[in-house]
Amino acid sequence: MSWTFECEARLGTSLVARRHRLSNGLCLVSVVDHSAPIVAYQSWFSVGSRHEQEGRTGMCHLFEHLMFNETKSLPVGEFDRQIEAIGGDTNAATWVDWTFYRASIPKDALGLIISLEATRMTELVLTPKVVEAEREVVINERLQCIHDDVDGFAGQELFRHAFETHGYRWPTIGWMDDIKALSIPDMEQFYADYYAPNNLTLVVVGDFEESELLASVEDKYGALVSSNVSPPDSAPEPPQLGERCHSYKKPVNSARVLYGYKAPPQGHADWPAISFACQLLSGSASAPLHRELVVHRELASSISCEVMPFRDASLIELSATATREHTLDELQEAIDTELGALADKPIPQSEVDKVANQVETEFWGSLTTVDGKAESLGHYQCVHGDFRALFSMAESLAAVTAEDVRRVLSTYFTESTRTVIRIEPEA
Amino acid sequence: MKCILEPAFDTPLVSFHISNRLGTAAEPIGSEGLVCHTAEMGFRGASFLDRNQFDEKVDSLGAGLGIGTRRDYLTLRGTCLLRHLDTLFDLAVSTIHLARFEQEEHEQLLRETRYELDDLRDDDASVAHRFLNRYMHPGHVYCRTALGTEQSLATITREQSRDLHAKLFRHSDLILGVAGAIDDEKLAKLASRLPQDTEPAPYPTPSITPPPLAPRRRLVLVDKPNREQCQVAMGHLAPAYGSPAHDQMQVAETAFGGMFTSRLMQEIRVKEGWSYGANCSMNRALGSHGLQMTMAPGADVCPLAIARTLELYSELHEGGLRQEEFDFTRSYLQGSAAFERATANQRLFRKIQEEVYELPMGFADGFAARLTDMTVADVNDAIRAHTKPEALCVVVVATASSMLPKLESLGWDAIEVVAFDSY
Repeated sequence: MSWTFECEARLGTSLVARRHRLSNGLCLVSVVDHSAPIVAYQSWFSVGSRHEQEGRTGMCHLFEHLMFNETKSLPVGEFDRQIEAIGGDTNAATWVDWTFYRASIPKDALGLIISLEATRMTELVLTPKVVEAEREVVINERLQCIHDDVDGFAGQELFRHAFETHGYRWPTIGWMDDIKALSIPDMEQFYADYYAPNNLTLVVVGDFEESELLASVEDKYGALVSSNVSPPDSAPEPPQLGERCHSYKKPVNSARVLYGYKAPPQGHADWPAISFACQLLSGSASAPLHRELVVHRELASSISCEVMPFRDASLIELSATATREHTLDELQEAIDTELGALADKPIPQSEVDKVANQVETEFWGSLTTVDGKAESLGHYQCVHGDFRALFSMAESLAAVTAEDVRRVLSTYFTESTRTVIRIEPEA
Repeated sequence: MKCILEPAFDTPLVSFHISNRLGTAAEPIGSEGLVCHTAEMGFRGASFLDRNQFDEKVDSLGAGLGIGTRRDYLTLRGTCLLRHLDTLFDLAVSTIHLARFEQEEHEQLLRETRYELDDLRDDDASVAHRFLNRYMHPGHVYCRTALGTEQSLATITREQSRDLHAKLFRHSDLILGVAGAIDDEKLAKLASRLPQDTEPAPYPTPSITPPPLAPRRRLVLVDKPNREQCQVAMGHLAPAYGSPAHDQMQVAETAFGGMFTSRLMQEIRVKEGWSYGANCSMNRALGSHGLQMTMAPGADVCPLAIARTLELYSELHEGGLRQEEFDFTRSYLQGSAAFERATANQRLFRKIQEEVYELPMGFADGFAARLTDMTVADVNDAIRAHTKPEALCVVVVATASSMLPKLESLGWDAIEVVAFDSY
């Protein structure tokens, strides 16, 4: 065996997550869970839209679609057919820092999925017919998720204006012109560069024996050759020195505003406190922004706040939708007033205790299913290089104090580092 | 009252469900939205707590507490850390028995529902579903909006809502289910907190038999400005959950549009690239409810996508499934059954559905065995009887001025153009 055991950590009351690495760099995080005869098998590649370049945006996402097509040994459609024939389900997701492929399979099919996944890592065939059909699907996906979806459009515009140099400034699905122009040679180079064992983390959670998993994975992936290409770092983003505001008229019923405050990377010491503060602001019915703007004054029909879990510095997104009786100006003024007031006064300990309970509940809720466990472990292993960051994040969140919240509110929720996207109905 | 326990010890979370046997189908005509409104009013002040105090109490536990409304039943669902179970459960019980129904909260909730309608209209897929539900089978209780309309919300009074609330959760109709690290003794203690002293006369059972409807293929074009892409939803009524025909149609629906390898997905997405998704699904309810197909093609290819789907559906009706297609789909459904009962919450949900749909215990888990006994001829008989290409209602959310001329020629018995904010 050419596996190296690296570490382990408890997951819940009775499970253990363990990490091994093959000599070609492939990382494997596994959790044996016999509670149901199923397995979550996920392949996390450390490549996302931030690794793309101007003019070739959308490559990661389009390529993710193409991975479900023909290989040298399997005709088009055979990958899905073999998975569905045994009752399994597959899908994939691409975001700024990663691309992951998930399969939920009955336990008896573990050998099948290992073989299928290893095969499509090296034997994918990109024919013009398949590429053009999939490109058309992605174009329609973009129409659906951004052109005709006001929230998708607002999110795209927020990142486009908030970032000047970093790869976070384009949408993961890519710009329409770029999607139409991506070439097969570009795709083949992308495949060779990034779909390599040293850029892959396998996360396997479910009903299997670890020794058998290790043997099977080594058998199918052990001979794969590492890639020499390391993902390029995005150009560092210069400090934002003033508010950026952009307004749009769209055929919508309700006006809405989206703020993006500059935030540190997920690995930064302040990130847990910011995440905690977001939950405190609007994460429940009794949260101050929700209570004041939605319940008491009925300025907004909804309001939400979250910090992006990205590898590099990103944004705190705060979004609100105005009710029919009120304008965006009224809503924005109220949001700013509330945020200012919260940052200026001590946060009651009862509010901190409340959010600590919410965060704990949410943490366990995300680990209820084998897919949920695998996704959490995969994100932290891929973005932070260590799945145990999931548990240290939970500990950091539990340790956030009232003073931490007040400090991050006054430090990060500042007008000079925010970008504002306003969407109002056309006349 | 029926009690169900699904033990689970892997996390410190516990969930409880308190379900009844009366849902939105029970609403009087013209009062659409009444049941949702009434159910939600329980959270707008109960016992000694006003709305803000109630929210504060639930949130301080880090818990989730809400009510789900279905056609045939409601479920009050709570999720919390085990150490907070007693407190959250008492709060849940108070929403059932001690709701305050203050006029101010009643009026605010009606306004909030109107805001929800506003927001829904900015989501084209939701608009398509709302209009399909309305036009699929007019007159059927399941084809009325659960959320309500501007007009129906205006008719709802606090007294009407309060009277209904007293009858929604009759003790003898209740099903209490818990998933988590508790035992039977604890379950019994929780059950004892649901008071039995008030047992009002039962609410009139709604008729869930759909009225006759002439088989006409109808196009409802929901006009929305500047659409580059269309949301399409089409369907008709299908057999009630629990019937043999529903089992057989579940195979048909899955083979036609329930998998990535299904006919619809392969033709519309894989072969043509017209839409990111193209799916077929069937609702579960006590009576006949919808079988629907959905897709989101670009405006330029929308007529082609609809025409092809109609063609595929007619082919399914006339030719049924091939033996190998049936075998594949059966294998898929039997294999995927494990994912539907993998967690304690999933198992609990299935058991509660068996209760509210008046099905024998183990019915859901027995589907895999029933599939073993099923033949392709059984499924094709059901397809011939229950797929109705000539009676499809097709809803398209698009810009009517440009889309109508392209769709008119597809062969409709009736065409109606409606504004997206008209319902």
